[in-house]
Amino acid sequence: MIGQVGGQSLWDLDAMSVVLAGARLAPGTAEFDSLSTQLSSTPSTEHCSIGLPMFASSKASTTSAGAQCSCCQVTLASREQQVEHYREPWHLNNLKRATQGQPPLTHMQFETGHDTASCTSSEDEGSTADDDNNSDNDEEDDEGNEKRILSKQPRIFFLNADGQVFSVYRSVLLNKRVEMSGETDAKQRLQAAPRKRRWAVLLLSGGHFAGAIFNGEEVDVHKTFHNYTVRAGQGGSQSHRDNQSATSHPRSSGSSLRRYNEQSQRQHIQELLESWRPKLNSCNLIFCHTRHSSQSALFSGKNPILSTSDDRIRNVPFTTRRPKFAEVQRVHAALSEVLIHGTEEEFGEMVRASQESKKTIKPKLPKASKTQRKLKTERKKKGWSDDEDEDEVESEGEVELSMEFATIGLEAIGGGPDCVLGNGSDITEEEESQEDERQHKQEGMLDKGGVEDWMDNERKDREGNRKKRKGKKRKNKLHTGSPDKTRVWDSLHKACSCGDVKRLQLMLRIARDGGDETDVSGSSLSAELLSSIAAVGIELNQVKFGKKERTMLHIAAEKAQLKTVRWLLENDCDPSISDQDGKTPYQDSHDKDTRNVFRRFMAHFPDRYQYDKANIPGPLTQAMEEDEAAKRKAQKLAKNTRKKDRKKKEKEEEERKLEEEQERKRFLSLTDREKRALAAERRMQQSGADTPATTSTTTSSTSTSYSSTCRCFQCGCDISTLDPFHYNDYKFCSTKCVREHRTGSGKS
Amino acid sequence: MAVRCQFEGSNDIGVFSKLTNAYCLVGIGATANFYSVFEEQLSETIPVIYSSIAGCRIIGSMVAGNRHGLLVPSTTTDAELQHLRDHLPDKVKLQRVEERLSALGNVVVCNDYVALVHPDIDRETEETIHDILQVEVFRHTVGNNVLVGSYAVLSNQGGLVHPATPTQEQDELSMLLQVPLVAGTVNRGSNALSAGLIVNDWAAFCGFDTTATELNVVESIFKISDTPQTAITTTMRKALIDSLA
Repeated sequence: MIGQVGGQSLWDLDAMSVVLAGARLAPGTAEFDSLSTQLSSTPSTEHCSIGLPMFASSKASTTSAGAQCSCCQVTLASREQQVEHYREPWHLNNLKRATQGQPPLTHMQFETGHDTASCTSSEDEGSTADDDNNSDNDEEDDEGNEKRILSKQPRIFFLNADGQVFSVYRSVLLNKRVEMSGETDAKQRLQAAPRKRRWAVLLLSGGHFAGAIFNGEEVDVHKTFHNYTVRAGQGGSQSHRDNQSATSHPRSSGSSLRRYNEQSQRQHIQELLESWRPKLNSCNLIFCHTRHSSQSALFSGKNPILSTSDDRIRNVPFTTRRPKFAEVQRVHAALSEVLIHGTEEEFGEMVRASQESKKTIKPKLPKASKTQRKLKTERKKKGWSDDEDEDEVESEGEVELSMEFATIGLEAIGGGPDCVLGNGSDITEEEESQEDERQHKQEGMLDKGGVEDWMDNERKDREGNRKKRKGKKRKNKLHTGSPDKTRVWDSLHKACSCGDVKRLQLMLRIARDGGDETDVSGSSLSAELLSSIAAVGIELNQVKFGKKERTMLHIAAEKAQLKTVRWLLENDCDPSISDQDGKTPYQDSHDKDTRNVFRRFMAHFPDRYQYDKANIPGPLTQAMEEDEAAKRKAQKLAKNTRKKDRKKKEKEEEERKLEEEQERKRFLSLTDREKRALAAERRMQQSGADTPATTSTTTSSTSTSYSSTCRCFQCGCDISTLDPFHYNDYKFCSTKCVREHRTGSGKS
Repeated sequence: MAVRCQFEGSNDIGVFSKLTNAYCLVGIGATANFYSVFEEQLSETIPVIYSSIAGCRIIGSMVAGNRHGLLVPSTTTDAELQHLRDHLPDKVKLQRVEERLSALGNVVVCNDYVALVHPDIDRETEETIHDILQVEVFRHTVGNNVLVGSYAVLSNQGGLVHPATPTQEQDELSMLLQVPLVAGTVNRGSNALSAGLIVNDWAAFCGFDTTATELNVVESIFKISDTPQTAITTTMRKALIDSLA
């Protein structure tokens, strides 16, 4: 955003006559650029006049050796150059433009307009993005490229006779849908603005309505009211929710209440506007700020007072807060303010700074010299802006943001006494997350507000501010209450949660006997901390963190800091103290290892604490642990052997299958006659079961193992256990095989 | 001599077949008439392969290839791929490409050295074309049409482009492709060139409706002619030009 050196109310006619004298559009802005180029020749024709003769001459001279790219309108000396050119993103982009019937870009235009090579990618959205970029580019003059041009802003900048650059909101001068027809038009509109004193401001959002009609600075009439229409918890209006799902309208009593309220609010507003009709009709400008969905409340009805096509209807080009009378006044004052940006050079400087700041994180706003602040002294104090705001007025966006910060900050700092005393990290995190949520909501609001890219800067600023403020907030919290105690406890908490036993030892030693020289000098503890320890002392069992009053043991156990737990137990930190939830450190332990530390300690020192109160089930001696280990080992071994057995079995199974498969194949390769012979042989073998073992062995060896089973003649699968299907002498496993065999044999 | 033929009554033979210097693919028709035309002309030199892509006969629109390789769209089934691999010469690489514009025949036109492709084709596909077909790849349009494969036919001898292509663009393209180009039509004035005409370096096939004039243009630009060059274009030429000058 552009910085300024002062501001003027539009209604201060004397000051305005000075400011507006001889005003014309300030160079270096988007408006100046577009309007001044309109006055001269259009850029497209210029390109043609440059491009064509060049092209013609090249054709005449180098028809044999050179080539042209008709698409980009350049000459190329050789095929190598041509090949190279055809691979350039610039060419590809022009190619795409040509297919869409758009004029080609010069290389310069392409380079300035495209930092991303989206055109080379094959995505479709690439082309649409290009169009947007290019339309901006087309407005730019070639010679204007050196001078940076301010992108479109919500304000229009003018240069007056004194050489001062000043700006007013675009929406004060013209309607959103209307574009300025020329510089003279802009001048006329500007000069007429201070005399159009009757403004109406109507804000409607979230069931809140606030409206007022102003005459210059004075309020003529105003009215605010609120209805319960926004869904509690989820947010959003009831009708919006209903519209989202066409079928299911919630039938809760709350929803019907909200529906009714929406209706009645709409009626209310229309009645109000009706009563204001004569006044509204005499208004010069009507500023409306409402969501698209609730626009109908203002613009519809039986005989609507306002119509969207009315030229007087303007939108509010910045985010507004909850509609209240104060907010209406603030909006009115902000809209009617004329910002002064110093001399033309200073303005140029600011533009450059703001553009650089888009790349870097924070914009550097040049400080205006005191001599050039003569207008600032004339500046009137506005009703809405207190001193704090006065200092921070740099841009509208920033005013708002800083005010929002102020409100958040107050809430965050006033978090109550326990959040100050209890230095639990969890509380801080909670607050941070809350704040983050707020930030997100704000950002959402900003997006919806439809205020475009100039907000980006603000967002970045805010990011920076937020970080700074967070640090400050934390400091604030620590310094309230008893700072020494907080500091010591903070340090203890940190040491417990990250398992820094040495630090704990050191702190305890210093607390008990002041420590020796090496402790004090060679320690990493800060002097502040040392003095705090000396002042407060450390009583381990008295240290309780946060709302839940958790002890150091709780913290260490929860973070599974085994050594710290052990050390704390050894140093008389009582495990039987439970927190506000009634949980002992043992119960809060992160894992079994931590719990075992407690049990082991119990085995070593059976009478030291009240272990039953600490909910520690029993001691864990060396012998028990060894037993446990042995048991586990045995289990593991058993598991391994089981696994091995299973694997072995699987392997055997596989082998068997393989064998079976091979046999089947062998069987299938036999002719039907052989199969029959085999079957007969098998039958004989079965019937003569009492034949000597020697013969059976010989038969099995001669006919090999496939004689052992009875097989299907078609697919060769084992059917010895089944009742086979017969046809002639053939046997089959299924009717399917029978059919296949018959059709197969019929063919052959 | 360019041959006129028809695929089951359709003149768009280029849709149903693909001809390169190393192989010829023919869509599976109800009768063998179409196939036998190609077999008669080509079977001595290159394999003529019955094939389908994703079960369809419109292989000419779906595949892109030259003597180095053949690219088929991702819709090709494994069986079809295997079939093609079995019948294509071993030197010809075969690759399936994952490309949004799956009708590769319509978006790629190439000879054995250079290829023009649709401006929106994937980068990966562009690389695949370069690697498999061993060609220089250029994204370009022909007469403001992005479907370069449909509106241009290219061989190592020459090329035929869309009739609406301006002469200046023809010059540029012929410099880029390093072959002479001419704008023309097939099938009695149809500008869907690749549908009506398939060529390689020594053979050309046109739709049945192609007129003699069109055929003559095709034969001269692709240098396909059975008869030896007539005297009037060789020996007599100099004398004629001299006397005219």
